[in-house]
Amino acid sequence: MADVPLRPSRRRRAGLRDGRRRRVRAGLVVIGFVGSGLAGALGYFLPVLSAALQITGHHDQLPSLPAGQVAALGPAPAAGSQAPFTVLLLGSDNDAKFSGDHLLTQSMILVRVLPAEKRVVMLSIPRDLWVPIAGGGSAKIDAAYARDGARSAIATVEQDFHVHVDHYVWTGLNGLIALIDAVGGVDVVASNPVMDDFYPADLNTTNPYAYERVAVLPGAQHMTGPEALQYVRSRHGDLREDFGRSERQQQLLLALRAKARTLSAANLPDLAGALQGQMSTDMGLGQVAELLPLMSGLSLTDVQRIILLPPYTGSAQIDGQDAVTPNWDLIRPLVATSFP
Amino acid sequence: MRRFTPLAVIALMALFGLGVYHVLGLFKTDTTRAATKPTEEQTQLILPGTLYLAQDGAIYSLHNGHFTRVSDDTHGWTQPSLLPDGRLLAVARGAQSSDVYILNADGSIAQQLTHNAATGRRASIDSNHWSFYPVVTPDGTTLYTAYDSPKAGYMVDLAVWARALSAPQSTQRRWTSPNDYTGGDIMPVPLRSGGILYVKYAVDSKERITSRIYLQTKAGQAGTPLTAADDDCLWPAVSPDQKSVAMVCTGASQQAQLEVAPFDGATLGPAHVLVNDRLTAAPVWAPDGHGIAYLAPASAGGGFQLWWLANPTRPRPDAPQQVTENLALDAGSRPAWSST
Repeated sequence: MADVPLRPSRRRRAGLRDGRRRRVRAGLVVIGFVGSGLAGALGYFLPVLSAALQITGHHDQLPSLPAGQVAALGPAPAAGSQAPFTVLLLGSDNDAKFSGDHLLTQSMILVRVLPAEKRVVMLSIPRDLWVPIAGGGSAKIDAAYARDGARSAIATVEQDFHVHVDHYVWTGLNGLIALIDAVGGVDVVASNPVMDDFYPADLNTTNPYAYERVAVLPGAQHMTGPEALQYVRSRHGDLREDFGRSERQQQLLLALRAKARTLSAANLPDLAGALQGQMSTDMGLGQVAELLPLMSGLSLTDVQRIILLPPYTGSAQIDGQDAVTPNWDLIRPLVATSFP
Repeated sequence: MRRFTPLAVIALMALFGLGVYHVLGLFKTDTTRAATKPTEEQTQLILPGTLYLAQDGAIYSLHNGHFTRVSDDTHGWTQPSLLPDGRLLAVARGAQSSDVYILNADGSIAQQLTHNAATGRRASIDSNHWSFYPVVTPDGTTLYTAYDSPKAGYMVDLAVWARALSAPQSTQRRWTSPNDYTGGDIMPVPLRSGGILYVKYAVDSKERITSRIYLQTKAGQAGTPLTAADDDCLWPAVSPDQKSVAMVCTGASQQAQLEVAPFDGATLGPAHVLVNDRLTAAPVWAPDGHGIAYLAPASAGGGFQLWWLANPTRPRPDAPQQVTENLALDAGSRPAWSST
């Protein structure tokens, strides 16, 4: 007699179906909670993605060099490599005195990053330096940005300093304030009393030609965004004029680097929200992500600061303007050494 | 009832997502969070007597571990200093000028000692003046301040001025001659001998800004530097027995270490470093001379807290102790310390 396969009873089959349903339901609940959590995280970091997409990847602002010049300068380093690279930091007046596409740069700092050596070299370019501007004519170097944005500023620096700029980062005055406030302020050692009776009161005002008095007292202190801007922007009361200001700008960069070391990923949305529309760079998101740990890992002794004081520069009246004149015979060997 | 169960689960999922969003926010770095008001903090370490400190334009007293608000914050109060009768000198800092006042124990204004705001319809912005760092001689008769006069065009340098406390501002006399366009001479400290210590800024032959502690015995005389230009020292604080000077030295860097040196009334002996692992500012000796209070951030980029260091003149001083936890004390204001 052949064995008849035993069929589960109706009750047992119903029980199996119920168990399967329960497991499916439980799985759906787990998936629902995971999805909800991911949505919460995505919502938290959404401003970061949005700002990153807006700020980064502005390749169109890089100058297109003649083929021969590109070959002489060598290829740009690939993302993620340990090859050194050079970034041009540009800080502009973007107050109501200027139209959005004709900004002067108050600050130009060439930064050489050497990832393998964990070292950085910063060279401040005086804003009144009288140089040939890319595209023709000579003027103060702060006017290069006004001609064609970052593209023109980079091309001018490259042709005059004989250096290859791999990337640029631009920020306006409000961007600097927003950045510093978003990180909760910075601790700066102010090198001397910065006194100015004619500091431009051109932000958030109906009269962009107004003045205000500034007195930043010396010593270690915690600065908010507006205080830090006063410290790095004022120049009237400084015997060294723009050179003194350049030094203070480098001090602020060091203070920002120190502050960056204390931040966590949870701070990124605040930063991103503050910087939207206030900053731009040609670097991609991946390159920025690779750069941040390197910058935050540097110590003060890893950063070499260069300011083009006399004899690297002189002063002269050119076209009725007080200008800083370059001594290229000294500057170019210095640049070739520090920015090979 | 069963009909509502899926809805409840979905609501829980949504709440979970919101929870993730908010929990991520809790991982923000402490240094980006707002500081607490001193009156909301109680110190574990009890310092003797009463300290007066400034934060956000208000002056607070610290006695027996408890903070009490002495003044309101409507005048931008900063730089409190003690008079022999227990009342306070303080600076009211406005946007374009600052003035020195005597405050009663309850914070009310007893007397306005300077009138630096420009008045009249034709007054220009540079007709305003600053007065900072007010301090009186131990007998309470003479008031010293750093005052920005004479001025010329863009040149705004502070100089040390003195007058009888009871005399009008017009009788004040300039003690020091600042170097032009450096920020000038600041932080006067009267000595029992009748002279003063102060900080003088200069630009050296390498175009580097330097700060040195000077001793000057009479008004108008040339001062004598007590510290080296390369050390960049400021914030001199004389011990109650006048045999030691505490100071902050930066060495032209973004570091600010606390040092102490023996003082014989004319020269400083070799200094030894008390604190070099964080930025320090505004040291003040305890009335009994057994320790120094100073301001420093607890972590890089954070607000300045009150610290205490006992036995600073011993070969092996005690380790520094943090007194406050989450304040943002005004690092440009030296605490005033009363023995009662």
